[in-house]
Amino acid sequence: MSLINLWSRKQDKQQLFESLLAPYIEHLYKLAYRFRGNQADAEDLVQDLLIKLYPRTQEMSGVENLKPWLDKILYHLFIDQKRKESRSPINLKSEDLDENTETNHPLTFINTQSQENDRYLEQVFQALNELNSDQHSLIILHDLEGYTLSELEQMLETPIGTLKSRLNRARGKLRELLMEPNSNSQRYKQMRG
Amino acid sequence: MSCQYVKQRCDEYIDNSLSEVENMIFKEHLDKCPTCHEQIQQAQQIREALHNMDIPPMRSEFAQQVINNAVQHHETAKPNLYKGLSLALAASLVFVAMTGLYFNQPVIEDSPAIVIGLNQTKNVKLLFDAKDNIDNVSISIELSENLTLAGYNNSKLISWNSQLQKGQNVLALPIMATEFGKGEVIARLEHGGKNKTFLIQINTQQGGSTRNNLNPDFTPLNV
Repeated sequence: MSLINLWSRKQDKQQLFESLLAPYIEHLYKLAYRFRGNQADAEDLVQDLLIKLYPRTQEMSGVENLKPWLDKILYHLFIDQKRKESRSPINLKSEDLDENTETNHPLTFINTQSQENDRYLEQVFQALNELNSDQHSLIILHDLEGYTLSELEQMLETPIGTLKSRLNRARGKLRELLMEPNSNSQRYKQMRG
Repeated sequence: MSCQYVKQRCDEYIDNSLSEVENMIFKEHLDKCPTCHEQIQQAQQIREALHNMDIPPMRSEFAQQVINNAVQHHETAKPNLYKGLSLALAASLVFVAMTGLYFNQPVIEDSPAIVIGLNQTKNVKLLFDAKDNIDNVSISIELSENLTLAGYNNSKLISWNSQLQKGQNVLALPIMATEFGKGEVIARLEHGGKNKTFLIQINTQQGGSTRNNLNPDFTPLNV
């Protein structure tokens, strides 16, 4: 008899919940960080996910492959959050803030290799955040988490044709944003050989 | 193989999902066509950079904390929990009522203190509820010495012009605590010679803080 079944028989919901979720918390944190872009929001997203999942502990114990199941719920939670946030029209515009702050920071002119590398990675991160939430999460789930488009068709409940064109547009937009003349991409390319 | 074909199938090439034969023909084209070669190289470079993005390591106590909070959320007696949640919610979402064009004399509105772990960043969201559309609002954010806005090079005063739309307007501030102690963020809104000031207290503590909230509601302040 599997450990999971044994726990179920004991009806020890809390321990079952912990035994099911504990192996995935770090993975969920990383995925949430990639979705949200900072530690505090990533932690909050994982917390929200677990609060949602606790009443579904029994259901979880019957899920054969928990990782994609959890990723799917985390994704939908993230999309819900983004949609709620997008209803609010005011956001800090980085370009507005850069205009006010750039001249105060002469250190930005120091160009060591690692700083350029970091800056390019930051640009990539910013570009990723310029994508809409559907494109953003598709890049993360497909390019970073390695889900195939067929798997994502199930997970995101979206036809594969739509996913293909969404991926194409998302990658095109990233290229567009990162390959501008002022970007650090060319130097990054040289550094990476 | 045409450049148009490469453009159409480049995602599959990058994903390594072309057939062996298609892949070979694709490569032959790339060897001959510098434009397509460059495009594919750029796409691969972006993908590589995505993989190289750092994620700060998870706090050692986070896993247990997040599990306990979830269990507690459902198992604790509801009235107490609700009260606790309301307080926790105020920690990162501050509700501010704006009365449209009717700014009076400078007003300072206090919020419950927000807790941020040392050297950690928390997205503090200010929620402005405007009764009307307001164009050309001057917004300034001032931070105390122990706080900084992530990504803005330790600037203590940031100002810009924007507009408020009727209803709720969210301003997300990625605030990082750089030193222990009490700090504050002052948000000033100015329009047509009138202004309103809001004070948000931020306390820095060792380690991170994790909210145990689920619902995106908030605690109103001196509405």
